[in-house]
Amino acid sequence: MRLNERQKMMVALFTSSLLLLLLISCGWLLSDDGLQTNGALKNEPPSLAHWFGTDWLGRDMFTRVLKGLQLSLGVGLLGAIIGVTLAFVLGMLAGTFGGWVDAVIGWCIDLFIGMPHLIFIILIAFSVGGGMKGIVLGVGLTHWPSLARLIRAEVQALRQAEYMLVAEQLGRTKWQMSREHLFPHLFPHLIIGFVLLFPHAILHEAALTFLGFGLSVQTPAIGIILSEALHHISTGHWWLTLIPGGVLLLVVKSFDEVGERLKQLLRPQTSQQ
Amino acid sequence: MKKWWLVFATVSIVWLFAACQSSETKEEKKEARPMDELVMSMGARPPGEFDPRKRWGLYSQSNILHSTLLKRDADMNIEGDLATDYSVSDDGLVWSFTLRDDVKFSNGEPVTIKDVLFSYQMLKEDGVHWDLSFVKAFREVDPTHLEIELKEPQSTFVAHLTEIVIVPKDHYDDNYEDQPIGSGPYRLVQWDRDEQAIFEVNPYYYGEEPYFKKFTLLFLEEDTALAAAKAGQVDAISLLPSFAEERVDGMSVRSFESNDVREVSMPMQRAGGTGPDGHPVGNDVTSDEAIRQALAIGINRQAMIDTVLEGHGKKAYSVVDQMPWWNEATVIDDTDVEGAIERLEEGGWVVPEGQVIREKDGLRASFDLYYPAADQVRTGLALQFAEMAAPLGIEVSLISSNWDEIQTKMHAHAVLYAGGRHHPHQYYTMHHPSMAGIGYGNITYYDNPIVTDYLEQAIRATSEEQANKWWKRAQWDGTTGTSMLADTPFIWLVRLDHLYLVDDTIDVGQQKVHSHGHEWSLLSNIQEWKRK
Repeated sequence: MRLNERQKMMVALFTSSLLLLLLISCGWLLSDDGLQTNGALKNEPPSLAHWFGTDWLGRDMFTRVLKGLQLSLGVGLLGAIIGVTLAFVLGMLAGTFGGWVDAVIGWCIDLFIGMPHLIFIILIAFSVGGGMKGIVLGVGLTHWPSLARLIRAEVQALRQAEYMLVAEQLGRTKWQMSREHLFPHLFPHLIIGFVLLFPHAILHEAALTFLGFGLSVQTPAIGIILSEALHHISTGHWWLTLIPGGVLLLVVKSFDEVGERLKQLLRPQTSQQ
Repeated sequence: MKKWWLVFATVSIVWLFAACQSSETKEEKKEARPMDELVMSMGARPPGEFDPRKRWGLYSQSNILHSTLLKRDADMNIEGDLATDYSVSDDGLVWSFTLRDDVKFSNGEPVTIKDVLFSYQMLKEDGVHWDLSFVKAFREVDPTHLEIELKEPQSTFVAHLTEIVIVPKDHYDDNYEDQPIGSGPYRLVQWDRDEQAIFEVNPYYYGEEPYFKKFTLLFLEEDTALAAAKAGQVDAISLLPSFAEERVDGMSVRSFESNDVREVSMPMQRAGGTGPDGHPVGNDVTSDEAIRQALAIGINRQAMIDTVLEGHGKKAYSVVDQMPWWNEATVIDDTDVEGAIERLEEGGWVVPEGQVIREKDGLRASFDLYYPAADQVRTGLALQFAEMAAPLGIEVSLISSNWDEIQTKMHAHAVLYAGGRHHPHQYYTMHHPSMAGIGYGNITYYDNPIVTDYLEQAIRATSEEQANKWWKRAQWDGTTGTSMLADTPFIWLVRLDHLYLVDDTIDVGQQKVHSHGHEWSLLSNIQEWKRK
């Protein structure tokens, strides 16, 4: 049976939602006992009792990975919300008011795009004191420029549309025109931006915690799990890296798939890119 | 799809080719090295290489590149090195040394009494890592006779004489660590910072010529070092306890007892102070005695040994465990959660309704614990310490950091600390108020006048027996002391066994009880190593 793009998107959306639901519910249902060190259960390979095995301190890897992903999803969600909100507000301001407002925002966009954003994230995370707050703000404050530029361009194009000119002639205020005409048009862009930013933010969370700029080792974060496991590769304990890495990849890829398909459906002109 | 298969096939072939290559060359790599050369990795690069002003000599490194006035043999007895003979006046104030006149630095220049005077004077003036403030004068009697006059007797002075290395007056400057010159059995011929250091026999060395003519120290992470050992690229590596079960053909695990301890430092002053370096001092939670004592008896040290150290260690009760100056009465029972909770409640720390963390007058029983992120043993111990504090209603937040940052935080926050030397001077500096805020001395700002008096009596004693009596009292006199029976400025956790994976053909000689710093402990007698 061949599925069309819409059906494929529905399947991807359903699978990703199921995965999301599974991760969140498992993360909530699992007790923290598996996060405790246990000298009697060290370095156990995957088994029925410990699906993802145990680490060198006897911690259950299934609990650590699920709790870690739950945290990653939280960071991804908050980071994406901040990024998309910033992009929307700044893109709208630049497109609507033009002039010096547009120039300043355009300059900021160029600046942020020009900087390697991983370094920027680390700087921001450091300057706000690190931790969860640092990662969320770091991701959110560095991932708005591309979307903001898109929204700015859309707004500028729409301002020249006939119905906008008519609305202006009829005495509608800029606020009214933005609310009634621009926002409904831009909404799909925001949704796509959000869904695509989400897996990107998760990867950044993993990267930051992997590099040691993020959370305490007490927190089960995917980056911390991978960075700790890296020291044990030479012992042949494959489950410490392969399973957390694979699960992270699965989650990120599934949300990326949803975003891409959503983009094709809502912006068909991009489907040939 | 075809493209994917092509990529997969190419990667597999390359991988197989690489794997075959490496297995073929493993034995060859070992055989390619001359019998009298060694390649080793003793962990990541420790700070302060080769320069005594930056701590070189504190941890068993003194007699590799340099000479010292005196040294210790394998049974810890004092013997001469640069000094052939020494005597101490009856009042313990004047130390006289007869120096060898046939010693040369590795650049061929003679070692003179001026170099000895310079080395000591320079470290006295620096005063950061070596406390020589008790020295009144260094005197050159004649070119082979040196006198050191003390302001007051100093029972631990002999330890300084075995650790302070002699550097050349004419070649010592701020860049000394880049091109160190000494008169020990080896000389440094290549130094690629953070990568490797290559040592060769010093042709001018006055002692017996070492069997190994050259050795290379690679500064590898522990896991990389293990991979290098498996590939036959190294002859000896230091081993993390978590790798102790690893088996490598032709190599065996060697375990050595140490007095290398790990502890949690607990700042003793109330919050709000500032040290001479401008860093904050004091912590309202750790300065509470009930918190410190409850943690000391509530934690399970054996679980730490079993889990983090894979059984290769012992419970720790002080920085001087098993030494002649250790007070055995300071051994405490642990894993006493009920006793710990009782102690906390006596101290006014109660669990508010609906909470899990205790409070006292609105202050939460919560503190930060800093640890160096690169150290896997300390990371594991910190994790377990925090876990064990939780059932007591104490929240320990772990902060992974580095020593540059820890130095600015260690007077106001708990630190997963370490120590252990071959003499009691470190015990003195860790607890005497005059050392508060100086280097890594009294980092907790501990100050108990009764203990201070005992410490001063011990340091001024003119015999070791007399000194040991006072050292033991300082730890516990039946009422007070630095131990976990009383003031507890440190919660002692575990004493490590130092583990190494060494080629079966290498005889590492008779090893002393290792001190803190597994990197150099094994190498401290490398001039005595042989191939079996």
